[in-house]
Amino acid sequence: MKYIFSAIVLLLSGASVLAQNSTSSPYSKFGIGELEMAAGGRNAGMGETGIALRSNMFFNSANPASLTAIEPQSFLFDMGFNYKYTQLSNTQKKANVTDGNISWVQMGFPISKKFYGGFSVNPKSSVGYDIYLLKTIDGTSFEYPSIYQGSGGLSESALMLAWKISKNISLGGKGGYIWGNVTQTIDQTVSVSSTNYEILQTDNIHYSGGYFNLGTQITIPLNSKSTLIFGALAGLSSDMKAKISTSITKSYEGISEVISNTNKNSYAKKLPLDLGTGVSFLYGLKWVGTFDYKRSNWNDANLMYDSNKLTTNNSFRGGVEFAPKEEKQSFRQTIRYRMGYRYETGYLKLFNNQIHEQALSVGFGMPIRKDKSYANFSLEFGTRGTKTASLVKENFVKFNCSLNLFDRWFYKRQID
Amino acid sequence: MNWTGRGNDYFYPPFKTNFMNQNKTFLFCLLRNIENCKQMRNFQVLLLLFVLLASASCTTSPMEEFVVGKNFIKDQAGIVKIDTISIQSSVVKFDSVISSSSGKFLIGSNYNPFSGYKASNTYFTLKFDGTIDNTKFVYDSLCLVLSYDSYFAGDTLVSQKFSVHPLTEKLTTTNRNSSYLYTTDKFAYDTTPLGSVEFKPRPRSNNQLTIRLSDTFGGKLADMIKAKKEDITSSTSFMENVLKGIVIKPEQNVNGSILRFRTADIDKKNVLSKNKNLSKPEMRLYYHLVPNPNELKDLYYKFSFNSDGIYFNQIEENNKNSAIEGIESTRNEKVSKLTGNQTIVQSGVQLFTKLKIPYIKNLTKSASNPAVVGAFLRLFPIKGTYTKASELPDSLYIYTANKNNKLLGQVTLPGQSTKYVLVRLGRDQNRNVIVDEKDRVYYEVDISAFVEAEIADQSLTTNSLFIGFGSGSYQKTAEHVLIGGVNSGKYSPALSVFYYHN
Repeated sequence: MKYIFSAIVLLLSGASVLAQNSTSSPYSKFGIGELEMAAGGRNAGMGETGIALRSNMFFNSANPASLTAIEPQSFLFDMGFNYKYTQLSNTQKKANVTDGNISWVQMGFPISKKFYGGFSVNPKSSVGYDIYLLKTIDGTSFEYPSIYQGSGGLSESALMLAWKISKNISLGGKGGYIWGNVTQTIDQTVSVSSTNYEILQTDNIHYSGGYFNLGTQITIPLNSKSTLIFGALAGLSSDMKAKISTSITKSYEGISEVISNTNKNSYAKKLPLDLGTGVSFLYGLKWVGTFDYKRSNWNDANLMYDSNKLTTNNSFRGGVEFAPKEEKQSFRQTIRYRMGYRYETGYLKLFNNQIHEQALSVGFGMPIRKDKSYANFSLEFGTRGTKTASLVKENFVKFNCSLNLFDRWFYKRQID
Repeated sequence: MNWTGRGNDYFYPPFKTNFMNQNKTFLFCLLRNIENCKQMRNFQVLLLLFVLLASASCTTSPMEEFVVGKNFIKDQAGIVKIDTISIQSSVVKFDSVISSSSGKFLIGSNYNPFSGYKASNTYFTLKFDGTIDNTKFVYDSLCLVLSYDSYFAGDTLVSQKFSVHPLTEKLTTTNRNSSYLYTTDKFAYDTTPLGSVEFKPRPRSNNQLTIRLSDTFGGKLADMIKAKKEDITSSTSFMENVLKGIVIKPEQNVNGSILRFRTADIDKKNVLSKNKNLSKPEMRLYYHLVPNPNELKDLYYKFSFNSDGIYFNQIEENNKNSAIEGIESTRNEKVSKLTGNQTIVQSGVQLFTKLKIPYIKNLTKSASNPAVVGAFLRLFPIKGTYTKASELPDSLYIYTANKNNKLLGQVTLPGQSTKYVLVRLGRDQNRNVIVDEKDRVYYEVDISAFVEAEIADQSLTTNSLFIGFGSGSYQKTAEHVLIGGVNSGKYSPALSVFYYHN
């Protein structure tokens, strides 16, 4: 049990840094920030699929029912990092940004023959923007600059429990807690007269809330080589509390005064109701092909600003994995090549432009020991947004790297 | 230690290390385990990569401000302009205006229907200026000579009559409450004039106004000069015994102009030749010599304006039948509703336009408008009450006054203590007076500091704004601007307050 303890310590130490922002996207101003993908290292290479993926070697937190694929007396530990290079552009300007963060720390293990457990800590969302805007005072031709800045993000930690109802049917539940701080500032400089006024509004928002979702996976063997897996996922819509403290400072001519300091506690926003379904097709141990559809209804996620800008995200994701050698024949671990594509209609709708996102991913898993541990690498090439209607287009390359460790426990040492 | 076999998904490999028995941490065990791996080097490289990634994670490269389009964020936060704040306007008369040593003589009478007739009288003293070189001369005449200062207020086409009276009382500030003289102060004078003149004012002619004085008095002065009396040469004795002082009075209740005259000699070096002898006021005693071997002409002894002495402009008003008639009975204040929805800014008989913003202390009470970032006031002179917009005063002064109409001080710029704001006539880059889309000219002033101060003030009383001629100019000028009061349609004062809205 010592390493469980150690693992928890490691997870928690990882969690302490998770809440940092790792985005520079102007779109992270909206909603709870840019949503992070944290299903696992294998998923990242396969277009972030996972609802119908099962593996005894790769941790998949996209569907808690997949935990039942873990072998008895073994555990899976997965820790990932990412680097994202983004080119932001609109009709006037381009900017290049790089962000990096821990992607996830997660672990799964069998509890008994029927029950499996797991936990995960990962960033849920990131906020990091720096937007410069020239606004006009209504009824005048007077323009003044406004600088919007945001930082912070939400973290998520979750416990998973899965039940292997029968050989082919599994049910899993994931209960999590989301928390974090987001700081948003608006800095406006006005000089309608000969005096310069600077108004700085700072909103510190502390979010906290729990959520629960259920997943299931059904394995249908078609013949000796082919297997079909169906997966489904349903998340309960849940409330998230937001404590907002707002302070407004006015400065002019060397005078600086706090003109307003308010705290609001009663504020709540709804996390979206997620519904997803997926299917995988396995051909021997060589080929895995999978497709996911997921719908996240962000319409009800009331937000402090811009409440009308969130909408339903439909995501369509597909991925394939190929292992050149069938493990049973080679008796050696083999490199697994992956590829995926995803298309998200986007949960943001700005001026009737839904902020679509699509990305192509390629990756591979490299065995790092004779055992079943893998280092997973993937690159995701994607675009998000549009240049039309004064919006921003993002072209990005995201590098994901994870260490997926397979190990044994409760296993007696053999004496030679 | 070595592994004897490979596992597959359904088969446990013969794993030789039992973690449970090792008193090491999880991570160490992991590493230890890895050490036993044949692919150790691979793994070390990987681990190094991970450490690098981990150490570099959570950093964001610095990004310059990314300018996005105006539509990117359409939130409510921002600056809004509100111009529906209610104002009250009234006219306030200031009785006592300091006018001693004002630097200019204001003489004349003018009229406007709003405030009635004004007549400005100048009181001053004279002293002998020069030396007595001839005692054998023949007296010709005695004149008082005043030099126009080009400035005037009123109608110069109307003929005026000025009369000069000797004072029967010494001009002094002793036994008065202040070391100044005010426009309302009175000194006794001989109602029989020493002389008078009726004339058409030509204030911009660079000419002089000459008033012929009594020859009786002239002859008496000539005799004293011939005798070289101390009463002439000593200014003290002259004022004691000969002439205590002079008042120049216009005929009253004339719809003419108030004219300004110089109190100092012109600096001849800096003036064009046409501005000949523009001097301070002087009384000239003209004489001729008999015999006159050198053919000398235009000889005179002069008694100059005693600029070191006491002098002031006394202003008398007659507001009967004017808009402000009876203002004295209402504590010198009359709301613009009772004055034809007009207010006035007037110097001489000092009339202020008073503006009160009754709910000023509540301006930032609304949570959505917590901060004021500027407040502007526009006042509109009523078309038709001035002849040319370019002749309107370029700037007016603005003061804060308490509920008792006591001036507290000039309005400053926000956060400043000595940078005062002025109510300026709107002009474009070429200094032309701006006529806005409603065919109005306007005065504009930044009253942000006033608004700030009122909001910051916790007391229950509300101060008001007084717009008038400045402390310097009201001693020298005698003019007025008629301004629209509240409910005067397009001429109503316009207050624009800029808020931060969130």
